[in-house]
Amino acid sequence: MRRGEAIPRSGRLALLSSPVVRRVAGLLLLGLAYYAAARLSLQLALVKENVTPLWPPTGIAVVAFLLVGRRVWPAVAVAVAAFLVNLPIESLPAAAATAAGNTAAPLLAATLLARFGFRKEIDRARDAVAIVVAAPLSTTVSATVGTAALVFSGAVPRSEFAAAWSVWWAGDAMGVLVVAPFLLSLPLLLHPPWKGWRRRAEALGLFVGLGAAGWLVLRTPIPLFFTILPLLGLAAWRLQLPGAAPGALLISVLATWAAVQVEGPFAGEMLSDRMFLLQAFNLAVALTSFFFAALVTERLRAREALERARTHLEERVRDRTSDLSEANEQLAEAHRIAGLGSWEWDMAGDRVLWSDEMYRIHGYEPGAFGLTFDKAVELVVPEDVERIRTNIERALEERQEVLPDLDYRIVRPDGEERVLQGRAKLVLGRDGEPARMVGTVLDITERARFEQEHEIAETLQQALLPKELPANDSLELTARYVAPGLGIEVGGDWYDAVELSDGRLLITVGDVLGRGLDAAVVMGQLRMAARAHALADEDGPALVDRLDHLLRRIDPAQMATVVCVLCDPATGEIRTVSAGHPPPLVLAPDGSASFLQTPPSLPLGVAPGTHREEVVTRIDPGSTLILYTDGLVERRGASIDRGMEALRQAAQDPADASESLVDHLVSTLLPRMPDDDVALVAVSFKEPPDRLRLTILANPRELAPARRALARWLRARGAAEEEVFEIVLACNEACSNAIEHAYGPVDSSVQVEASLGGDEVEVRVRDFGAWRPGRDDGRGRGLRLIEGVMDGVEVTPSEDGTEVRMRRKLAGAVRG
Amino acid sequence: MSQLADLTVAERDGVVVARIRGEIDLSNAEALGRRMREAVPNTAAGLVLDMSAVTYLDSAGIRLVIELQQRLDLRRQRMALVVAAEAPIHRVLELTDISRVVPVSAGIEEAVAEVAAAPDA
Repeated sequence: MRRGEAIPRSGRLALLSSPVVRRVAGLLLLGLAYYAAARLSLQLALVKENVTPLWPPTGIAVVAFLLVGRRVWPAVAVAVAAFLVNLPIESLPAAAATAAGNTAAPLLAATLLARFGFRKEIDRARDAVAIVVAAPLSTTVSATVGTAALVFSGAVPRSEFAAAWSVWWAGDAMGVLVVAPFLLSLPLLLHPPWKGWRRRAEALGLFVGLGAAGWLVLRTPIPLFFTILPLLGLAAWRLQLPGAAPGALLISVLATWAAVQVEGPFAGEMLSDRMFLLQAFNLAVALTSFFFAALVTERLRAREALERARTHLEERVRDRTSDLSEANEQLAEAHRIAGLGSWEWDMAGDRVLWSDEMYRIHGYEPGAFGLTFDKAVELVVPEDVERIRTNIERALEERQEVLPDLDYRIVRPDGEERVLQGRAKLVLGRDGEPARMVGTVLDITERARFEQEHEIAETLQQALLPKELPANDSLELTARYVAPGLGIEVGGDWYDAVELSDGRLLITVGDVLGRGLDAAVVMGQLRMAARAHALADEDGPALVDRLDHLLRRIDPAQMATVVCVLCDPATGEIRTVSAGHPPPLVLAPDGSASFLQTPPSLPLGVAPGTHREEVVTRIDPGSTLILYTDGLVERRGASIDRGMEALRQAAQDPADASESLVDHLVSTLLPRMPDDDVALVAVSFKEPPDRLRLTILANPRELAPARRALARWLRARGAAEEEVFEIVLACNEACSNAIEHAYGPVDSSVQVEASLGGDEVEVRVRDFGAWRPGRDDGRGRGLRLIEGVMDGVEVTPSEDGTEVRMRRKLAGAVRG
Repeated sequence: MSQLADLTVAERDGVVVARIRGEIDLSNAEALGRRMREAVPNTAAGLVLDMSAVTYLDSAGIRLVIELQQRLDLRRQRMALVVAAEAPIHRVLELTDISRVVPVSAGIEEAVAEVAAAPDA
């Protein structure tokens, strides 16, 4: 009994919530129940109105001890005593002994049951056995004590002891055997587990059938009452305890009634025999009912546990399955996004399985048709089929587990061609023979197209930019062009450098607005025009003016910026003309960088007749001039001033020795994929060399370039113009002599070496022939000129040639 | 520059005026001499060689001048040079003492007058 739950806490009933009150009430209730049941059952008394074969009070007491605890025994004792007082038992000691015995029997039964590990749900076979063993054992106590008391008190004659004992024993045992289980099953009966009209009808039918059959077999004199046992078993099997307990009680009561009435199977038997028979029958009834019920319950419980485990397992399988199918869907989605198809070729059955994406790549609905190898190959462009077959045949022959990747083309049903990259693996069977082939296919059409476009753009751009840059002893040029965006477009930026006949260098860097083929074509024309005009000795402003005219003629809507720089490597003089172009940057030998101050000017193609000023600057040897287009300094969302400052800083940062200055600027300033294209040129003005070495062919046409080279060197060493002229004249005379007199009409060469020692220039001219006598006095005139302009001259003829050494002091020499 | 020097020929007061621009060296001296000889008809009083735009001149150029003078002299024609006194090539003329053979003037008018005015021998 659980405490307090159902009891309202209001009004007078609140009193009941006190544990003491409730305990006393419980004891009273138990005593009353015991007393009432005793009075009732004594109606069936067989022996002197005192002994009855149906004694439920013992069952009530056992249930009370089991449910509440054995400590409530006083209630039972008092109830028994009270009951006995009302009985015609004369002797008080006999009554007391009987009360003690009747209290001890259920106590012993409860103790035994507890010892056997009895569960009041009677849902295990051992519970059924426990009760069948405990009931007849414990009740021998009450039967013996009670009957003895009756005999001693003289209520029952000594001769009837056995009969009285058997009745007492049978009655008490039956209380424990069938009444107690029935009471214990009451909570179940109040809420019968059989749900639905079918089960209820079955239960009702079983009870009615049981009652009718019991009544029948226990009234007929033919001893057929054992046939009731299978029926009881059926009730127990179908309904378990809620069926077994009432069923057993019903049959026991019917049997007891028959035994009392001496009817049916009990007819004609002695009282004690009837009682033993009844007792045995009751034991069989109880055992059959409860054992069956418990067995079935156990089985049902096991089945339920199994069911639960199965359900749990099913749930887990369902969860896993849904996880898996989700993962599969995700994989399929990933394949779809990546354009990755997969396939499997079962070679023995020649069956080809395609993934959904595989069908989509080929332009079909997933699963549109079944496939064989030949059918799959039909979708490949004919030119590529052979390569696929060869690839597979070789793999089969050589048992290659991984086939080399293969790019091939397919044709979709709408005629579109796609490029696929195939990867395949050979799976060998247990016998080591090829069994299956599995593979993936990646749609690389876009990538292939991109690569092709990139290649075209690169080729075009290279064609539009100079193949090589001029180089000489005084200047070193490095240039870079960075393509815009992904590199599939051509741009309008350019750089160019051309050496003029006077030894100067024209460097142009320009930017035709926009990009793409149009801009690139205009760029190519402007670049070539600048080259042509420079070679025709146009000066900077005139050259830019020509470009302005040209641009307006090519495309009046187009604009371009350009900066033209004429560099004199000998003097370091640079003449700069800009047309709307960002100013060149000069990196001085001390590492500081500053922008050339070019006046603001209009871009090309804006206003005809615009005059642009030439800015003349001198650059120290060791400096670097940096020309660039705006892509290097313009960044979306940032001012160009900030970009130029960043360029200045980057130029001042010493570059990694392994990286050229232009590469350093590109990697520092440009993102990986610049929006705009960039052209960049760095012109390094080298320190002039101490020594000039020239080798000229023995041809008069070689004289002029040699004169220019020597003049540049002399100027760089600080020679005045007059000195330059005279030293060049002397050298030229020596060379002319060598060409004219040392050689016949054969190819040979003359070596010129100039060096500066202190403030004295020495020029040596050496040939490898034999001077022949002059045809006229020309040779003498040459020597006279040399002697006239130089401080000293020595002619040293030898076996294998002649050397002319000439010296001349300079007024303002520059030490190297 | 494909050509070191270019030559233009004009006629003034019966005098052929040949003007050379550029450089004269071993590579072009002979050719220039031939073209100038051809440019001077027998009827001309002589030749004025204007070298005021010559930036370089060496012994090959001097030889050209002397040979020209000798050829013209055979035909009783006279010759004069025009070279600015401050020109770098003037130094070459000085060193070779060319003025002893061919008169050197600083201006064209002067040179033409000298050639035209000379009495025939």
